Amino acid sequence: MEMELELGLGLPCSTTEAVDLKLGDAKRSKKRRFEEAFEEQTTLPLFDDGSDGEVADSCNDNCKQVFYRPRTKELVGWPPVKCSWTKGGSDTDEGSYVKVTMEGVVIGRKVDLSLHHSYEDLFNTLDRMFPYKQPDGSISSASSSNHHHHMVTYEDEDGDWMLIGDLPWEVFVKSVKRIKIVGLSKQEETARNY
Amino acid sequence: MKVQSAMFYFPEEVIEHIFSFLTHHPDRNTVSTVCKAWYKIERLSRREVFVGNCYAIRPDRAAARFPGLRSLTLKGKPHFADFDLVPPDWGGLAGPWIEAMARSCPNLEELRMKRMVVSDESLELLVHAFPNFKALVLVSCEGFSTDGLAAVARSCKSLRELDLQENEIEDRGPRWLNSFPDMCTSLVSLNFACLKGEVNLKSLERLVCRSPNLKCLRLNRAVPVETLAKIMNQCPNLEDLGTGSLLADQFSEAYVSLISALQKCKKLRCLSGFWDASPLCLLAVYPICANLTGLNLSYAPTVQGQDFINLIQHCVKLLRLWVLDSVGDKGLAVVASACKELQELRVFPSDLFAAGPATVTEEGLVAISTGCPKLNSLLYFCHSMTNSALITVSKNCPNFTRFRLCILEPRKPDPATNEPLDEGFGAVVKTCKNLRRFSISGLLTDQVFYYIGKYAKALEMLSIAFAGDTDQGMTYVLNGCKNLRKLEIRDCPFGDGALLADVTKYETMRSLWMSSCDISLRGCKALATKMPSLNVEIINEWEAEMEENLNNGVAEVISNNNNKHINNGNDERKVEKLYVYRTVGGPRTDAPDFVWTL
Repeated sequence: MEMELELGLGLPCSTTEAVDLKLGDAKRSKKRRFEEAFEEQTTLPLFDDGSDGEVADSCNDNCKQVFYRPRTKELVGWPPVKCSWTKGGSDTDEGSYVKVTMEGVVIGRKVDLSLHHSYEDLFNTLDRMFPYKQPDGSISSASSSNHHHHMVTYEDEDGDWMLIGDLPWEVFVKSVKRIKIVGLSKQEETARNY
Repeated sequence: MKVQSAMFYFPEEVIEHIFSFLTHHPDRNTVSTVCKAWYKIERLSRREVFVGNCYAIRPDRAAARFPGLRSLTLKGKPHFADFDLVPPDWGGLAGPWIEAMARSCPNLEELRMKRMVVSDESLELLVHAFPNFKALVLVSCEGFSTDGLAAVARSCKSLRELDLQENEIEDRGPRWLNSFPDMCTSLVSLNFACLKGEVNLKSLERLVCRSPNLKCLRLNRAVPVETLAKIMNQCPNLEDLGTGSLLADQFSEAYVSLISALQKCKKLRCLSGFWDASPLCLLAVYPICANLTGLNLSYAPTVQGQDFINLIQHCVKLLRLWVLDSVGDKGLAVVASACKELQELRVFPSDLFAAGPATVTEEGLVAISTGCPKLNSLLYFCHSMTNSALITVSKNCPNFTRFRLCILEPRKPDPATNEPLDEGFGAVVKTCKNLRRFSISGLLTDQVFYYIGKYAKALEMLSIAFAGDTDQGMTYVLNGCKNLRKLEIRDCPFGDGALLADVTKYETMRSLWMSSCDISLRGCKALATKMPSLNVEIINEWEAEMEENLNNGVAEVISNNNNKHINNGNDERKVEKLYVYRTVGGPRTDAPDFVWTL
């Protein structure tokens, strides 16, 4: 999946730079925002927290595509709630958030695993976060285990990258450090679907 | 007029006595402008001062003018600082104010501050300079630690109120609670819910034991059920309780103790906290629900679904309810059927990163408006909203004074019609004649601003994001809203034309905030030139020149010293953040280098 972000150039980890990329066009358009984001590639939708360095991570991790870095990677201060709300005011909650990146997607996300009870729950969430556009234009899930084009991997506490789904859910939650959705090469696709 | 001239022959004491009936600040401000004599009488007899913008006046001047001051309320950073739009170290320092008061106002008893930066040293000064100090209320402040709290606890001989709401407090250990002297028995209100760390439970119990006047107690998450039960047994007169962590085993002594303790608190009207609340502990709360007027479940994501319904259906006298959107439209429907007296509702987003099991939509809001016609204050985060729902809501509840609706996805249209939400929000301003505070969202054109300018005559504060098409939108608001005091705008296509459309308007307002809009340095400079009574401040954290290397994705930032750039010629540059406010204090002397006063 290619994310052609036709954006201005700039450093991703600024938290205060303007989100003024293609907003000029986006403002006049009355299209729904999600479609905008994935067709016209303006800014990606919100729901992103202050996950500094997301872009840097995905750039450095084996991304061979050439892409522009956006001037900002997130919508600062939106939605307008004080940040203490999102974490429930406790430090212990922070442990259950894991970063999720998808190959070719510049902006990473975060998922609160404590709100999920099974792999299926997690895949549903990932589907929502990273809808995948098929070559024929239809949107489908990038992450479900029987999908043909992607696989979901995670880094465990030992630093190894593993395929998701082998461990019981409770064990997985304790050992996962971060998640990455990678595209399958043609060969791997064939092998998987065979 | 005859009556007026007769006033001059009244002794000062009589005039002062007459003034004592004026409690409303604007009224007192007005009488002070009538003549010199009245100015003098008013200032010497003034006991309470409210400063809505700490930079609107120099602290020395305020302190010198009101030597008899007993109560001071101060607000610092602009509201959007709550959403990380104002850089750290921007300002809002409490120190100069406390120092000025220490010099001129020895009778100070109460200090209330919001969005200010307070240091431990300032807190030390506070409690030593004012022998009668009784009440400290800090809301959304930062810069201090539990050591500062220890200083307050230790030195205040007759502290009545220590109220800490949503502050960033550095945790230096739990000993601060020990600092309340044994002879301190005057506490009426203690709120440390925002403290993240441990507290000394024994000290807490002892403190509560020797505070017979305690009416309001809000604990933090570190306080377990056992302690809560012990405390409640000591304070049967408690009116406002914020629980600690509400996890308990069914057959534990703590749980049994909690039930009996709660039942004794006949005066309990307001409940909050509910951290980690287990359904079991909620059961303990049912017996007191019928008398509750205030309930805050916004820190309790575990209270949802049937647990929430079981709880809320008992709360028939509820006036104020704060919940998370995980209660869903279904939960709100039960609120609508049970809480007929409801006046204020706040629904916060529970999970910003993925839609949780339930969220709220326009259906929940319509249900509430149908069941709770007394509703006058709303803060509602939702995933979608329709024009017809908003029209229905405003018909059902014409009494809104505060209406804040946040559709989580910016610029989202009405999903039923794919149209902007102009008509829906327009209906709110048309019907709700007493609307004082308004926040709008979703897809909006200039039309909504036309409606706001035309109908929202009582409006004092307006918050806009991702809305409008042209300068005309902002101009409608500036021209039409006669009582506007605060206008805050982000990510809207308003430019210099809108900014300069009515420059004298800003003198009638407290402040204007614009970020990520379309204004240029030239426009801001023009405003500053035309209106010397305003501080026109630009926040530019970095003027970065980017060098981009596409092939390996490396970018370098060259951050320039901003001060050199203010006059280096390119006035067409867009201004990222603008903060304009009226002031008699002149330009800030404590501005950091990323704040430029034009």
